[in-house]
Amino acid sequence: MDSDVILVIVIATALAFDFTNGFHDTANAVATSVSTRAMAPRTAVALAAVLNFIGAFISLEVAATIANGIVEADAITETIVFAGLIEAIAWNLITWYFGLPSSSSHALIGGVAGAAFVAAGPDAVLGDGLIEKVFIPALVAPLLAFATAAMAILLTYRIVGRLRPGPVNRGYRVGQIVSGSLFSLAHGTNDAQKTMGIIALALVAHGDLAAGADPLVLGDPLRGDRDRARDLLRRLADHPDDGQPDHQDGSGAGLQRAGRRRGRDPRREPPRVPAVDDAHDLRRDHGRGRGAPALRRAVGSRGQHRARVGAHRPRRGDDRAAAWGISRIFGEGALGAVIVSLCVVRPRRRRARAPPSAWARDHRRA
Amino acid sequence: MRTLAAIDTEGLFELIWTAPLAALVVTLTFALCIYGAARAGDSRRLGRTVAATAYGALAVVAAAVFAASVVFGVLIITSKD
Repeated sequence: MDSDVILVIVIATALAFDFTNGFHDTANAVATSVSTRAMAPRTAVALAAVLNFIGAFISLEVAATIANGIVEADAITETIVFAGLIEAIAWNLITWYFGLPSSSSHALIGGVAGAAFVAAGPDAVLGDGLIEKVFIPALVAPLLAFATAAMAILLTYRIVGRLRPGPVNRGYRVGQIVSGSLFSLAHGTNDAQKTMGIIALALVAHGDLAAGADPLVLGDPLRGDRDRARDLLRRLADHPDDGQPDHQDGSGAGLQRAGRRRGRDPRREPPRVPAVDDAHDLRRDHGRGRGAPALRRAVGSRGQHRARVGAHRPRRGDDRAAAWGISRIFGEGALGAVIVSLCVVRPRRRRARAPPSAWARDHRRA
Repeated sequence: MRTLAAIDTEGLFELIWTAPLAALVVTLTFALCIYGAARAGDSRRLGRTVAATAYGALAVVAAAVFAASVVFGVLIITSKD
C-alpha cells in the first residue's frame, strides 16, 4: 500500500516535471516565429503544443534510452527516481526564473544518475551509456549546429541577399512556420518521452515491469490501436468494389454477407474484420431474442456497428484506398493514422427535422 | 580506452556529415524557391515572359524538392521506433 502511494507520488512528480519542461522548452520552438511575427503568440504555442503531443506518440527511442541505457534498472528504487525528478524540476524552475536556456533532458538524466550513484553505488550508473548517449551528443550538437547554421546563412545570403526584402521576408515567414512545426514535432519525439522512460523506471522499481524488459510496453496499448487501425485500413483498401449496393457500405460486412448469399468458397472470402463481424454475429445470435430493439439500435439495422467511423454511410472503395495511401505517405507510424483521422472525423451534421405528417398530427391531437 | 571503445564512432561520423548535408540541402532548396518566386515576379512586371517562366519553374522545382525533403524527414522520424 505504501509502495503504491510512493508510486503515485513519483508519477505525479514526473508529470509535474513534464509541465515545467513544457513552459521551459516550448518557447524555444516558437520563439523565432513569434519574434518575427510569422505567427501570433497564442497560435504559435497552440501549434507547438499539438505537434509536441503528436511527436510523443511517434517514436519511443528516447524512452528506451532513459529506462535502460543510463542506469541499472535493477538497482533503481522509487526514491531514486523521485530524487532525480525533484532535482530536475528545481533546475528547470531556477533556469526558467533567470531566463537561462538549459537542457531539461540533461538535468533529468544527471539527477537520476546522481541519485543512483549515491544510493546504489557507482555500478548502478551505466558509464558507457552516459558517455555515448549523453555526453558526446551534448558536446557535438552545439558545435555541429553552430557550423551548419553558419554555412546555411552564408548560402542563404549568397542567393537571396540582393533581392527585394518584401518577397524574401514573406517567404521566410512561411519557412519559419514550417521549421518551427518540424522542430516541435521532433521535440515531442525527444522530450515528451523522457517522462515515459522515467515512469518505466518507477514501474520497474515498483515491480510492475520486469527489469531489463523492453520499456516500449508502455506504448503497447497505443501501438495495438494504431496497428489495428492500420490493418483495418489495409483490409478495407484491399477489398474489391464491384459496384453492388451491398458492397459499398464501407465496412466489409456487405462483402461478407454477399459472399455467404452467393455460396462462395469460405477460403476465398475477405479476411475477417473483428469489430464489424462481431457486431454482425451479435445481431445474428441475439437479435431475435430479448432486448432485440436495443441491440439493433446499437448494432445497426444492416449488421454494422454505428460507432465505427464511416461505417454508417456509403463509401466507395477508392476512398478506402486513398485513406490507406495517405496514411502510408507518413510511414507506418501513428502520424499517418492521426492525419487521416483528423480528416475523416468531423462533426456530425444535425439532421433537419421533417415536419410531422398529417397522420402524426391527428394522432397527437387524439 | 574502454570509454572510447564504447563510443559508436561510425554512427558519430555519419551524423557529422549527414546532418550538415541535410541542413544545407533544405536551406539551398528553400532559398532557391524564394529566389525563383521573387525573380519571376520582377520579370513579369518588366514584361520578360520567358525569364518569368524560367524563374517560376525554378521556384516550383525547388518548392517540390523542399517539400519532398520535409516529408522524407518526417518519414524518418515516424519509421524509427
